[in-house]
Amino acid sequence: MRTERFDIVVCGDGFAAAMTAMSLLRELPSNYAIHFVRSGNSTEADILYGSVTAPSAYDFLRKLGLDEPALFTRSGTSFCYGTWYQNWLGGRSWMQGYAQPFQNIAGVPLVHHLTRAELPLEPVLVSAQAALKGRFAHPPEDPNVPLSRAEYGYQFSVADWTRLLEAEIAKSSITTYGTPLARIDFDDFGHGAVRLESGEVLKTDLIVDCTGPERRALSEFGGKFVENRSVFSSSTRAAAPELGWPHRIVEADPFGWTSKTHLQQAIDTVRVQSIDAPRNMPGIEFALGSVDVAWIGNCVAIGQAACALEPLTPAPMILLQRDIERLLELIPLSDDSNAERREFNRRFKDDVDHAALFQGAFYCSEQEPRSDFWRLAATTAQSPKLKRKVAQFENRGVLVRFDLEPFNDEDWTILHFGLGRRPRHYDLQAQQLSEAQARTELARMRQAIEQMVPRMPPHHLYVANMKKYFEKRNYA
Amino acid sequence: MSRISKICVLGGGTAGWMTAAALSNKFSALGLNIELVESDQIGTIGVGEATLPHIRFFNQALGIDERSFMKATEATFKLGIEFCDWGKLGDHYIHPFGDYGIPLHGLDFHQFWLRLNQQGLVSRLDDYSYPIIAAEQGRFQMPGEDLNQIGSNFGYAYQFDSSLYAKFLRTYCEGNGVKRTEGRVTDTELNPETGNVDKIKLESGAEIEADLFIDCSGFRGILIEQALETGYDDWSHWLPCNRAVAVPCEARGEMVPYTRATARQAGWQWRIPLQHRTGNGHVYWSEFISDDEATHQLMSTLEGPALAEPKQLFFKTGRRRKFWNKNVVSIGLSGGFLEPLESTSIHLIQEGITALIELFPIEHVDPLDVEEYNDRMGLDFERVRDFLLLHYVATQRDDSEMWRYFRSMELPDSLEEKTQAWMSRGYVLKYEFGVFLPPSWVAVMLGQNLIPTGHDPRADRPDQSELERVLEDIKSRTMHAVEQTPRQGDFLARYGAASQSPQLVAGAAS
Repeated sequence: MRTERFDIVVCGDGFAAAMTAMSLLRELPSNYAIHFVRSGNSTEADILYGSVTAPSAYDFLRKLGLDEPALFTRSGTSFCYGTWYQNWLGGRSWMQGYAQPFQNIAGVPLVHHLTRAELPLEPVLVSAQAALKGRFAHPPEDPNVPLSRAEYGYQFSVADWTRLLEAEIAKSSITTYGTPLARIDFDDFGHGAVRLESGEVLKTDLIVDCTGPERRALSEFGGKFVENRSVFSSSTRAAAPELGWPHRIVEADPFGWTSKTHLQQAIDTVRVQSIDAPRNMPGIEFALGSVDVAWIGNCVAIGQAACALEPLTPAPMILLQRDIERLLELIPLSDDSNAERREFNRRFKDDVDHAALFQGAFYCSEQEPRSDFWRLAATTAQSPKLKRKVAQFENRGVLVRFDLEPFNDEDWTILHFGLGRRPRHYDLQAQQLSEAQARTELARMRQAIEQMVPRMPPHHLYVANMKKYFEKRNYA
Repeated sequence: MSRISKICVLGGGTAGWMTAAALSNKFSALGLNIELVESDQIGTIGVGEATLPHIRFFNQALGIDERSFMKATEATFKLGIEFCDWGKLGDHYIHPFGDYGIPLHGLDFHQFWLRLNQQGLVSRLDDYSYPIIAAEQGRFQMPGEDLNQIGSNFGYAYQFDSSLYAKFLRTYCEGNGVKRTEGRVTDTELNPETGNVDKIKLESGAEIEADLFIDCSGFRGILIEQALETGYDDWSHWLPCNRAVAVPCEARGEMVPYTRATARQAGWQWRIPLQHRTGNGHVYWSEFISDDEATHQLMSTLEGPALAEPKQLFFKTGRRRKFWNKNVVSIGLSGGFLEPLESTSIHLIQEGITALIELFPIEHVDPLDVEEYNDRMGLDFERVRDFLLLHYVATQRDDSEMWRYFRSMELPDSLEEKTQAWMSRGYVLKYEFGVFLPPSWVAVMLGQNLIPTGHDPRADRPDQSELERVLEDIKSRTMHAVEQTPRQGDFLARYGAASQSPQLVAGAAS
């Protein structure tokens, strides 16, 4: 059992910094001392983390102490069955719902039966149907209940969650420095120490750069940011006395898109558009892209310091979560962290590539781009992997998979259908059932959902009752 | 509707009949005309007698009754593979089909074991593995439904007579309408425009045309190589063993639920216990041992009298450059060969069949399908290759030329990185796809004395005495679960899978 002290300095000021510092504190043993140097002005850029999580955030947040009683009673968090994309390419609209693995019928994936019967996917997606009706309930474990096939994440406000985490940091054993990072002092071996603006030098085993797009630490280690394109983004908040939809809404227009997130007491609106388009609100320009390597020497970049994606899907949150989890799995044990660094960078690159694949797929279309925003997004999305994914699905509904992708088969299938992609052929094994038998089975699935959804409570009532329950049990 | 209506499977070994069985079952509604060509004069290779747990899903998908299958193929259950003399002479460990212990605090069990082991406070990791202890004691039962419970957290496979499996599947296939044709291929006719195989000609003069040919003709690759000249990626520099000699013998001792692979001076020797006999073979590198000496080493270490003359095999490890080329899909040894050290031969057949079914041509052979198939199979082969190579390079042996060769070998980057990350902190590089999941890597690396210098620091969070108590409890529950498990022979009889045929005896064997 290692007992020597190991110092980690987290630099940053915002969501990623707070989340990383708390995760390190909660997961690592006490000989890992966590220092938090408030640096930079990355809170403005936190808008790019978006406002929805994927279902995988549940366990991650619980480990941070952000369980549902905390999230729902101490912040405006609400539930999220997915995102409704409206007026997307070709004028298409669909619910990008979260789902458990789809049911096979006669051992053959659902998509092939739908293709054969020329039926849509959405009516047999329970999360989508509940979301569209504004209903919510936690999915039960009983597999006989259709709702058991739903998954959910959260709609949230980055500022709210940052506030919750910083309150925990203030009470914790994390040493916080109010003086910002001035520069990195390097020794003869390239090992960096953190020099504060006060002149104080923090000798540290590991520097975690959470300074967002400024990349204050990593840039001194030679980290290079590779920009794909730039966007302009702004956000506003409006009061909402009653909690709205259990899903986010993203609506496209010629110059970009606008999202609406339904929180308790508020609706948050985020606008992402071309930097050249007319601006109706104050905001910031962001360079989207990623660093070539996220861990150099004894400095590792987390969150937007490593990769900035537009918050079109939960991808930015997934990447932040994966950055932190990857760091925890590979936290150095000694001065020699070559093996850890190499593996971290390998997985980082895969995660970024694969998240970008999914987001890029939103922009791939036969449609003539509406403007430079759409043209540029489509151009930068091109990659052999995405080409293979789209070609295989369009050919025969085959889902090409790469190692540990952040988006699963269900996400991809829903996206393909949403964008109007239909396989030209279905798996011939589907013919083990007659077409009538398959249609009957699909109708049964659809009807079970149709009968169940009206019996589910509206989102706002479900949350109100849940909070009463938490209060009664003193959970919060 | 498919325009692919005629399929010709060339070769009737395990690969051929498995392929025909799967196609005839999965596409029964299509009215495919499937014809399998084989020759009784050509023996099957049959080195793949031991399997991985995935084979159960193959049989289940075909609706095969487990008991009937086991009786018909003289099958035994398999909980893992015992490796002897690999790390160093005198060592032995079992690579089990299952996890060690149970996950604690969201971390892999072996991290906590490493923590206590570094303090000298635990017994071997094997003591926390139900399938290992059950295998060592010759016991077997079906896993329970809750795979997180000790006594249920394992998988199982079979050891069977692959020629009987082929025979069993032949009956199955013929019931599904597959036509079997006896004959040897004398010529192949290619389409001058497309380069596809149009027809094969048999010694009898018969000609067989097909839309799609499945080449299961073994090492020769009659269609994929002899006709289409697809090319072969030679992996001999990593896996240089290039010959084998195989022989069955009379069974001795208790029928154990595991395969054994014993490292030898210039290769390794397998022992596969079936219900009616024991299968044996010696895989070796001809550079460092003569065929006679290799045969002598095998024959002098058999547990009972040989039941047949030893059969010599020649091979080159590697893979076909394209597993699917034109209208020919190579499945089994025609597609590639990786020595059967981890029982992957039949598994790779199964992977090929699974991919073929998913990508089965609809109207014609589509380059998109071909590309996807080749990519998938290429990844499968490559990841198995690295895992096999690990067995040879994770060694302290230097008692022969072959072991010295491996100790000085430059590893593929992918394996070098895996080994370094493991040695640093017991971390297994994360991948999703590939046959062997992290517990398999843990088993082999620890089993061959690659003991990490560190462990995941998160494993240091639990209180020391509490952790010691939890590990002791897991060990004791593992032992208790094994004690409640019947011996394999008793289980086979009770389960209704015991073969009625007598033990084979030398001189009386057919």
